[in-house]
Amino acid sequence: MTEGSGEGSPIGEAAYHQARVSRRTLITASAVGAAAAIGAGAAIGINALTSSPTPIPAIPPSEDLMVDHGILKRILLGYREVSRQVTAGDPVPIAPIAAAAALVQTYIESYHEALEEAYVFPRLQQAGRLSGLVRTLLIQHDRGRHLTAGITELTADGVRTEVARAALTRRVDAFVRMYEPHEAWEDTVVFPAFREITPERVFAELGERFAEEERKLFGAGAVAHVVDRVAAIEAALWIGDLNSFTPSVI
Amino acid sequence: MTVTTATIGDLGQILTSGGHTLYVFPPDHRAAVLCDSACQGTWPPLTVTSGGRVSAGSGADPAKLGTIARPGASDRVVTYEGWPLYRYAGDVDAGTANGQALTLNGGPWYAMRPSGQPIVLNEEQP
Repeated sequence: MTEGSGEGSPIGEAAYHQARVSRRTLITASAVGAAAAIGAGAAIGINALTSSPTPIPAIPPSEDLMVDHGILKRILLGYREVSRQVTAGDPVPIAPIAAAAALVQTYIESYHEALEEAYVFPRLQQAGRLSGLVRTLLIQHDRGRHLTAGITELTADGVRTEVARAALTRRVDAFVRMYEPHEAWEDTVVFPAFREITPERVFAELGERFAEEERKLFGAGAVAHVVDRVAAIEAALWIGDLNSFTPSVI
Repeated sequence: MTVTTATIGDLGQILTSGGHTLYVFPPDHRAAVLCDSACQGTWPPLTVTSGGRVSAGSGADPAKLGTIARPGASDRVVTYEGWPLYRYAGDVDAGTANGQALTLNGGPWYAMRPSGQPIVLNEEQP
């Protein structure tokens, strides 16, 4: 009897070529759009992107996970703003909090963290690398899920009392405080180590597999859709304008 | 591999294996292993090689044990009263049940009584 590793069978050639998926499409489309926005000076870049006969390789799995971290970081900014508003005595912005918690549960906790727990952490553990850090990250994933469950429960009840407001800010603050260093350590320590111990071909296959899982769970264009949802949350919290974060000249 | 029981936290006596709490996923409906791919990173199924044996330890009913096919793999998932059994990655240490009643990967997850009853909050069958 064995415990499941979560990795299943090796990826076959058919699956490898079949996985023509959303992140690559998104990035390619974004690159074309950005180049177009720059103007005529970028014409060479546009031609190079649109006329290349060579299939664009999958996004590397570590980069894929870092895109998710960017999404999480924007949710953390939203949570921080929620905490500021509630602490200041403003009405509790129930809808954006509930939307953010739902997004965390369905995308970050049920998908992104599952990828880490299925494909990244076991490889590091089998290689005898970062075992203490991986243990901490696993514990933090669990704590995060419980914090999200608590936030969801509070918002479902309407956060009607001072006790509930205090409980909400406590959970939101704890979530932000934990996940800021959590994702920073993953980006700077865990993912580089994961890349270092993973053979080139396997690394490429994992990129395809991540994309395939994303397509299977969320459909095509998942990241773009998730970013749209984050943007809507930011707008509801009045932090949707990136320019508003730019300081005046000091 | 042995499926046994232990008293864990406030849950009382529940199914365990290797000291780790075993969970069921109601969407499986005692008929399939719906948690696959990355989901199995968070909820690793308790598996046995095809033709392998599963035994019942103290408190577990051997008549309730069985196996079910694991999609895309040659091994099989251990079942209890027809429910596929999983562990939880967040139970880093033995003797914990951190996954109890978590809603994750498309549904809730519950520890299980030796009777074969999942421990839902209202003690109703899912």
